[in-house]
Amino acid sequence: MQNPGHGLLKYGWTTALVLILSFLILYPVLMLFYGSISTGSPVAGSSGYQLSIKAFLDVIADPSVIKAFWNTLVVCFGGTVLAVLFGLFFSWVTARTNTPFRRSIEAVSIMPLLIPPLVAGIAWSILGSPKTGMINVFLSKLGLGWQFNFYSSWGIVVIFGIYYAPYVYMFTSSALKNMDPALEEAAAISGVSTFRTIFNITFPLILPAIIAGTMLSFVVMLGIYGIPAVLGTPAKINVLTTYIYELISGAPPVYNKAAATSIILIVITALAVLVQQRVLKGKSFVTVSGKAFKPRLIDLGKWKYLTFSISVVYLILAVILPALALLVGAFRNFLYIPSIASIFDPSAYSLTHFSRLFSNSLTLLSLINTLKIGVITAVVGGLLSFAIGYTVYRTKLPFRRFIDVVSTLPIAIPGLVIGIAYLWAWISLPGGIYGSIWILALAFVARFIPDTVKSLSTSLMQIHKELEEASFICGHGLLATIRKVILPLIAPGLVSSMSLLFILSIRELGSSLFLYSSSTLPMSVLLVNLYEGGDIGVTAAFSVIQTLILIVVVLFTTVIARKMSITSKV
Amino acid sequence: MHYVTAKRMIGEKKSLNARLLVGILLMSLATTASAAAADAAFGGSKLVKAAEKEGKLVLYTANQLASEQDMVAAFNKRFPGIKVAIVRAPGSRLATRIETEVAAHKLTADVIDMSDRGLVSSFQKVFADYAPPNANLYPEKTKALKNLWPKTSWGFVIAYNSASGVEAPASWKDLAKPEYKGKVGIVVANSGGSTWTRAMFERQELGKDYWVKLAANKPVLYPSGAPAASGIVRGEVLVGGVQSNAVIPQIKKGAPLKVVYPAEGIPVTASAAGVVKTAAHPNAARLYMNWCLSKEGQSVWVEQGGGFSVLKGAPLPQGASPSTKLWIPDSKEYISLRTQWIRDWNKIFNYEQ
Repeated sequence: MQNPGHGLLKYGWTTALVLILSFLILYPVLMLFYGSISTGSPVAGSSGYQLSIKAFLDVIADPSVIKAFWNTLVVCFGGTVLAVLFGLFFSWVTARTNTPFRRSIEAVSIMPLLIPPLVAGIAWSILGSPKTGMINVFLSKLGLGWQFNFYSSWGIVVIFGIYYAPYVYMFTSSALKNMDPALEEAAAISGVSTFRTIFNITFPLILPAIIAGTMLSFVVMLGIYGIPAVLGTPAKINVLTTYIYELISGAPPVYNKAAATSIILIVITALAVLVQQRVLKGKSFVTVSGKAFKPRLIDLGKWKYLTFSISVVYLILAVILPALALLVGAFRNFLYIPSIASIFDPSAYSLTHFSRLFSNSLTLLSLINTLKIGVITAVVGGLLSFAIGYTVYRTKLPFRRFIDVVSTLPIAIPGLVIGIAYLWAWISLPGGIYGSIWILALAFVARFIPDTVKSLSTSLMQIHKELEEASFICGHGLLATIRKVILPLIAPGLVSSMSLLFILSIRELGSSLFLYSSSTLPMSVLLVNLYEGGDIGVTAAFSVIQTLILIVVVLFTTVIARKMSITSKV
Repeated sequence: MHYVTAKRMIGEKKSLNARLLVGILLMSLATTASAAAADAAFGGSKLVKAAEKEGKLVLYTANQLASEQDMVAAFNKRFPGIKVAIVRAPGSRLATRIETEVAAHKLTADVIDMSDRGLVSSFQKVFADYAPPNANLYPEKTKALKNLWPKTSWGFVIAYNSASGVEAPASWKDLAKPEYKGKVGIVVANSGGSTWTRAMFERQELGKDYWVKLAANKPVLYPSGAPAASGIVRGEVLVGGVQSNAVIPQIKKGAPLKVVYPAEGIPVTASAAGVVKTAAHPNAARLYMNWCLSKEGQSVWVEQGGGFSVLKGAPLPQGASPSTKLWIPDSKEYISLRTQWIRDWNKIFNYEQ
């Protein structure tokens, strides 16, 4: 915001943002902190409430915390390395090469995002369980002596890598698509090899996007419960989230200790954000300027078949196999697969799980609720994230660093714990919001602000100031500039952020577990209830329905975003 | 053979009509009488009327969703005008929610059915004075908590994969035999109230060293009942202790499982259910509780849900011999031994926490 005379607006704007974030994030985190240093629930009126730092001491002194912490670091680090490899590869292949079917590859590469972690965990235990996993049944049929055991650290790392690659992909692909190819062309003219151009020019240019994607996927993995729970427990691999889950599902639940563990995670995340800010400080990553350009496609020659084959292998691993496992689970009467032949026995399949699913009156209710919550979350969250992203990345307003750090915090809190934080913080709000759909939508907005702000950040950071300056010189005010220049430029980013929010809110589990009521039951909670009821068939059938909805949403928004993309119009 | 005159026919018709009328009257009297008798079993016609006027109730339960929906469906066959809205969560999560709602004066539940008796103490004051009409038919051991009743009872049985050809174990002790090495699935002791009851039963009834022997058999550990049951269906493990209500409905649908009721006993966890003091639908709440605790309600849970009942005279699940022993934990020991024994269990089974 270069033009002066907006002093009042400036402070008014910042204050408003800080207030909103305080309500959505700081207040619940504070309640969590309050809970971690007390014995009992911090809600006013609770009995047996006392201040104590016992929970913190317990956590620090507990050797199994250190072990869980170490396991967490190992699987998340390994998973992040794989996610960055996959994500960067796909964004480069789809945005910058002439690999065949790259549009389809583009659609495929974010599909793992559509599968909730718990469902992914279930699908991979059907596939990769050491004795009866479909893959291992198949391998033993082939007479090969080896097996894949996904009940291991390696299993978790690989699944993490596959499922969180889309985070890296989303960041880097929009950066690559909106990048001015001038430098790359210069390199090509000077005879620099394609390979060297990629590593010396292309990737360094989109470094902020890579770093943001890496950090986000790492931090998100820290908070995932479903995958390590299903794949890690049989191998006795505890990570922090499974440790926290046990704390809060024991009797009595030890929320204070869980809260203390989460506070430690939050501090680590806040530090990571500060480090990221330090690293990126003073570097310019402007790649979108006032000049018209078209991203250059690299002719890979016959190598394009290699990139294509790699994409197909990834597609099989990340989408087709788990989808197959889910479909088998959903249509097969029972998941007992003694041999390969029995997979193809048609008498073992029927629609019974689906008919049971839809004869349950709660199914339709939860579907409608989830769609309502998703729309509210996407619209409110999308706009708020844009306001935050713009303030943080495009202005020099006071407190923007603070806003950046605060809006990143929720990602560090595991879903189960953030749910209890919202419950503690918001139950006393006046006006009947507790028990309504709005409290769920608000919780989702708060919880997913980091994901959306970060995914918007790359498009925001790339736009050259000269575009805004030109607009100011032409006499447009700030709002007009945002409307006429910034919004059209980042519209694809905004739409994909909103669709991301919609997707995340359909999958969301942790906070809804504590905030739903009998009339606002969302799909994910019903899914967990079915899973906990032990009925894998109905659970798989419901997962199939959920995934179908998500695919429709993604296809729809991909089309819209593509239509809105300025770069593809030029 | 004689002629029947038209007149006589008319007369006969008349008397037939009269008889019919009397018959109908008598029959309707009889049905009212039996309805009244039935109503009495569920708390009397005054309660039924008041409940029907309220028309709904909100139930917080730790029971499995599908099982509770079956209960509600059977309840609605008798009382179609009363809608039951369910909020379902596992015990510890439900307890946290209730505590917080109570503190904020926003408790919306009319009936609470908690799986874990150890978790109720912090909010026991929310329950209203309540006892079902058949209170005297429930064992004293389950009456330690005032106003709370064993609406739902879960029992651990042994299930095995019958398609795999594994030999059926006959007892809990068999699970520690070498032929089942690596083939046994176990839900960790701290998963919930019922797994704790099972662990307590094992140590008190099967011998101090049972855990050690079982652990030596290298069992596969599962975080909760659902993956354990599906692990046996899938053949990942072939035998294991699971809740009967998680497997019997599956067997009815044709799952390749069979159930063994070990002679040493069935560790049974009884829920703690009660009517909330501040209930918005107090009569519907009482009626639902009365019905669930009646022989009719308990039979639905046992016969359709595959669970157990601690009510005197209630049926046993299909295939269980009448001599099957139900083992109910001592309610004091249930709380006092828990922390230390769970710690011991985790150590013996090398389960880090």
